[in-house]
Amino acid sequence: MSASVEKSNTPSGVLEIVSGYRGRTVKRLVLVCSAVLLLVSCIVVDIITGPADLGFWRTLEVVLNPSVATVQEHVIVWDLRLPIALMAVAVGAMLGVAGAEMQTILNNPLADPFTLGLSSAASFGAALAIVLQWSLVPGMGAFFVTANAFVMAMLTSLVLFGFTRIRGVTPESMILVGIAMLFTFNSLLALLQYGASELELSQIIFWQLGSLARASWTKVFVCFGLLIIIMSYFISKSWSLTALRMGEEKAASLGVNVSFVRVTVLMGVSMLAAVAVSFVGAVAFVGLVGPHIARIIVGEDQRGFLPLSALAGALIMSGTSIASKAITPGVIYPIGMITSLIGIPFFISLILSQRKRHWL
Amino acid sequence: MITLRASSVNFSYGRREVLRGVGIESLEPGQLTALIGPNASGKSTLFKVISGLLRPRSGQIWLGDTELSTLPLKTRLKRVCFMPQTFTANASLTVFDVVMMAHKQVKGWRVSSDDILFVSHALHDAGIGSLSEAYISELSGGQAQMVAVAQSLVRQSDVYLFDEPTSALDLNHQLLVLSRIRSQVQKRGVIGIVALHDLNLAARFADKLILLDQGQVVSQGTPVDILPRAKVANTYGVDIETLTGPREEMTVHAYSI
Repeated sequence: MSASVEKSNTPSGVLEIVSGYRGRTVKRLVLVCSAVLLLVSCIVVDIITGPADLGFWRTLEVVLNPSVATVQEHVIVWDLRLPIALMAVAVGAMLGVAGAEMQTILNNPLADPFTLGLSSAASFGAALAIVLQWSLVPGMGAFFVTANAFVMAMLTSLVLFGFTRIRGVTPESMILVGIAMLFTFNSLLALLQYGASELELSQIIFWQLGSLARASWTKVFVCFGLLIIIMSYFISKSWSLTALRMGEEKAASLGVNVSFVRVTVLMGVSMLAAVAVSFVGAVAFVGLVGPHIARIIVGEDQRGFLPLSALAGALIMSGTSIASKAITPGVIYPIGMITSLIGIPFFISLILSQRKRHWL
Repeated sequence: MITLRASSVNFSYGRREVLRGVGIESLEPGQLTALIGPNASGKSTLFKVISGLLRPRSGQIWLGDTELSTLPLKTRLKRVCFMPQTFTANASLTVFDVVMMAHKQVKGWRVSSDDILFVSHALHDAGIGSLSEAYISELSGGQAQMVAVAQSLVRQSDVYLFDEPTSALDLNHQLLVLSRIRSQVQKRGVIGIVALHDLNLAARFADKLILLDQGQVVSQGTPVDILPRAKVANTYGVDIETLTGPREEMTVHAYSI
């Protein structure tokens, strides 16, 4: 069993195994590349879609050379469509990655920022700002709704951390804690809504439905920056995360520091989810389904699973952004509704068409 | 010669004592030892303590001149390879993926052609080449166990601990897996311990036996010495008769009292 065996005296059985694995690696690479291509075309379509009728070439010209644009074109492309299109990609990727790693460390197919209560916590934080004008972080100015949402989401994940530190708490009970959080914040939110004025109520609902219209270049940079930092940490832990799926004991026997990986990854995941949700509102479904699509396509070797979860999430959000503008020309629908309405039939058909039983 | 030995190892889960003054006389490289004992006698716990996954309340475990608790956990787990009892996992990982993961020792993103060839050889030699691209969630209990053994043997360690490597296997595969473990232990000159329930398999494949009862080592020695003794029968709560089988091997027959 030497590592450098001559090809000539290698048994044919071994070569078959090698070619089987190589074939799958190539297939995986092709799939990731085509997902990237698909994403690029989605971004392009997203940028040329909108109430103002700008053609493909004109838009391309304005993007490549902003000086040729009229003031109106400049505002439409550079201040509205580009940040929105990129924000959709960033937020989708963040939610996809967050969902993928939550499912991995909690060993549960239902884990995502929504089912663990992070999204409801964020909605509650936003409602606190809208109804009671409470700012949890002083000095945030116009951003105080977003800041509140972020703080509440982070507090919730801190509570989840707290539970992971208690001895004997299994990943299964963590999910139950998350669901308890979800209901708690939903009730608190209902309480606030009950006392809210009509104007405030519509603001809360609008916030909850989710919207990419709040995109700005600053937010886009924050999102991509965070995504790059946290993704690189997850990539550095990719074998450990893959090993976790074999069971805690097995991972530990391979030298994985299970509780360290679990806590640090949960921290990263919470940051991603909290930022994403506080910027665009409670978008369900992306964090749950993105990773499942990736799992069906490439399996759970993190080296393929992680990038494809990000891509799948980004594709869903980008597609949603296009759909929100294209369904009724002139109207931009809230994205939260669309992710669920369009995504779920697609998701169910995917489950039904799938031959292998893993989690689904 | 690097030997493995332990002296007065105590371990308890909370107030429940699981290991009480466990001592292991030096186990030599190239030898396969079977750890036997009834359910809940502390076999798995002893393995976890040796590998470092559980910290004993007191006692010492020596590998050559090194007291194992002085090693950082990662180093220790590299030198002591522990295969936990196998449960089928529901992960969408292929057999190749999980053996590669063990080979890479959870390090480094890149997989080289040498890595691929090495893992392919390991799968082929373990007789599970045809399962290479199967998902582990689709394996039968026995197949999952063979994969787990391959996953352990792909690693380069000084000590190999296998917790019930044959519990889900049919007769043929029990013999195949144990002879493979034994031949690898001899070939690599490493120390191997298998926890077994089947005393016949223990008699056939092990050079040494360690009998554990309620967290204590009741006796240790060669199968021929140990198995006919009344202690074995008492530990399991059965009557035991040993015979010489048709091929000069020792066979063990148990009768309920």
